[in-house]
Amino acid sequence: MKVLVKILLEERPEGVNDLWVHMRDGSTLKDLVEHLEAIGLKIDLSRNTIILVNGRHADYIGGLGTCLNDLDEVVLMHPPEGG
Amino acid sequence: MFSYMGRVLELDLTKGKATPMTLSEDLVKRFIGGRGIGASFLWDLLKPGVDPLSPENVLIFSVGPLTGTSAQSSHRWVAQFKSPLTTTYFRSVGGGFFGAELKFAGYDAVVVRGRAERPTYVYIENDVVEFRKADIVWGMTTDATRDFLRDETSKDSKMVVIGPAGERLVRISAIVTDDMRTAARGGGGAVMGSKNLKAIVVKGSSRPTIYDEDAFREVVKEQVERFVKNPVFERLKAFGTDGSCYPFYTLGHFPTYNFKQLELDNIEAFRIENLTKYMVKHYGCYGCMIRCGKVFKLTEGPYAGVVWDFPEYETHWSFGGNLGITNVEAITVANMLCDKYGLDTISTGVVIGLVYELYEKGIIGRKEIGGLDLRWGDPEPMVNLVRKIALREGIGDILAEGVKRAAEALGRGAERFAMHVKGLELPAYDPRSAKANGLNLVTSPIGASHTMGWNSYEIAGIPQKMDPLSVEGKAEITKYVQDRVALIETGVFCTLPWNRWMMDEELYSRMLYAATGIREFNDVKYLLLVGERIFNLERLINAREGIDGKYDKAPLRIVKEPVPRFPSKGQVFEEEILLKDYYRARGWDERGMPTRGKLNELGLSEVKPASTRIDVK
Ligand code: SF4
Repeated sequence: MKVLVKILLEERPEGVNDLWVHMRDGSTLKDLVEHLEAIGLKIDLSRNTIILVNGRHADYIGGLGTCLNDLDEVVLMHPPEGG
Repeated sequence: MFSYMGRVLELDLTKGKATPMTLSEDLVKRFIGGRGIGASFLWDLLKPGVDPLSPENVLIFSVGPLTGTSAQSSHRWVAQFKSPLTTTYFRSVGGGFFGAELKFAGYDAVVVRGRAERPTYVYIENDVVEFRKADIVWGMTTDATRDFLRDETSKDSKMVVIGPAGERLVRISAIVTDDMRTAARGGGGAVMGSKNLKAIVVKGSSRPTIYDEDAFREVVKEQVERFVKNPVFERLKAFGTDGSCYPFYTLGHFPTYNFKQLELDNIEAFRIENLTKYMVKHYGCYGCMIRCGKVFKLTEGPYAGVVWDFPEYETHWSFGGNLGITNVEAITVANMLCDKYGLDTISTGVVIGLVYELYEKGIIGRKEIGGLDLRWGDPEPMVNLVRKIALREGIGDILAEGVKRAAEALGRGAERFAMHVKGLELPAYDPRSAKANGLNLVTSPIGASHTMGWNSYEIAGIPQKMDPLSVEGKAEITKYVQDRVALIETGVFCTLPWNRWMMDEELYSRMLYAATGIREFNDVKYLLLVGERIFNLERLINAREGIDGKYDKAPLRIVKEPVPRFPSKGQVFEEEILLKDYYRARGWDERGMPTRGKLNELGLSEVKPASTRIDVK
């Protein structure tokens, strides 16, 4: 399966905004985070980074154990500042 | 009194008379300043049932104890009046430099009454107050008015003005400062217009005296350190509210197509990487190191050459996502026209959204809208309609009445597509995607204003995370945030740093005590009680106008139509459950009215049911 990862963090590697990540079926969000870190993306979960799966805050749907499905959209972002 | 100027200026436009009055210490203790004292003045001075566009309406401008001091982000001003848009009590908050200057001129508030016979502007330079002819600037845009009035007064004067929209009594017209900061919502521009008041221009040379200078300096230093340490500080400084557009779309807040909430093609246009391309300058309000204001420069397309104040998050939505439009240049131009003509960008975008949808549904035809072809995503007719609304031309004359009245006038079931609460157009948050935030929009005394209770718990997960889609525990948190905002606006603080907990009530309490020496302010619990007192008093002003819980109503679409897109797919706004819980949390009865017990608890027991249309149980 593949999931679309959108990175809205300032610390993202130069030029990287969105990327398709191919993963084994049944992978979880934790697997994805490990994969992204392995390819050089720093994801500091202690700094309030928000992870959304199809727009839903991962915290409310199973945290890092959330199972991913084919074509899911995962967004990494800072808490938004408000408007 | 320390940190206050101790004076309120009454301007009687009918008589052309200015009377300075003493600000009573008792009032200050009970309401602190800004929104608090303004609400109290309205309670005392506004006769129930008056036409908001008549000379009997009262318009109050106020600042707070920390305005004009060395504190950060506390220099905003509040405009309060009976709204011609909602017919409710109203409060609208503006930034820039006007608030601080009013204080320097020696006043904590200005109360405007009556109606001038001819177009007039008031020039206040310390103790000298002049009612001057405004015939030349009448008809001018806000920026031209500013330039002319600076020439006629002083190049350093600060002002609030109205544009052609306010003059034409457009019910969604704004009050605009010399630096294009606005108290945009609720039709304050039309209230000024109805009084023949083009501008209030101020210049002052006093400064507030601080009770304990050393302690105040220390606590402001602490405030600055907290700002700088907060991770959001740099982002707000770099991007303003524009950094929120794309993330909020992703989170389901940035509604699309008049709240139909379909996926928006080309949403990528609102990613911050794209928006920063237009930014050429940063600026801020008086005494605010966040400097969230940005200037956009357009270099391509039909609007090349335009350089103007940037569209905020709300405006990228109202003229953008709300109409299926992703053309940032056109949105910038619509924003510029609103500033110049003096219009509220949120309400203007929403009323345009109504006609786009009516046109799509075949409810109105091309002839009725002056030959415009209103296709979702097409920016040109949108820009055209902004002008028509401001000048009340053609269909613009109907739309200038705001979305509720426009829908009623157009008939044919148009009301179903009019997105408002109590007549105030919904902002860029979908109540279905964040329930406490939605509950604020529904229960706020002024209608659907996000600023009255922006829920950082749900939206940013700060200071604690809260599932935006659940209904549990939302009543209490909505009440707390609303009361907190009422307190913030006594300062008069900007809500942005508070929303991200760069500021909190504990720090405010210490600042207030050091600045004023008023013992009561040294107690956080007391401060929150004042916040709640203000919120309840605002509710009572509405009740006196016959506006009670029946008006706490979201549009049908929000209650009935499930959201089709992620992450709120399938969600509706559970209004009945949420409201019942909210009234309980507030200590109000089932009609949404404060109970006698509640009023006693809040020190509002002097509210006399017999003298009003309120019957308090
Ligand atoms: S954060 Fe922005 S709007 Fe608020 S006071 Fe500062 S510059 Fe003004």
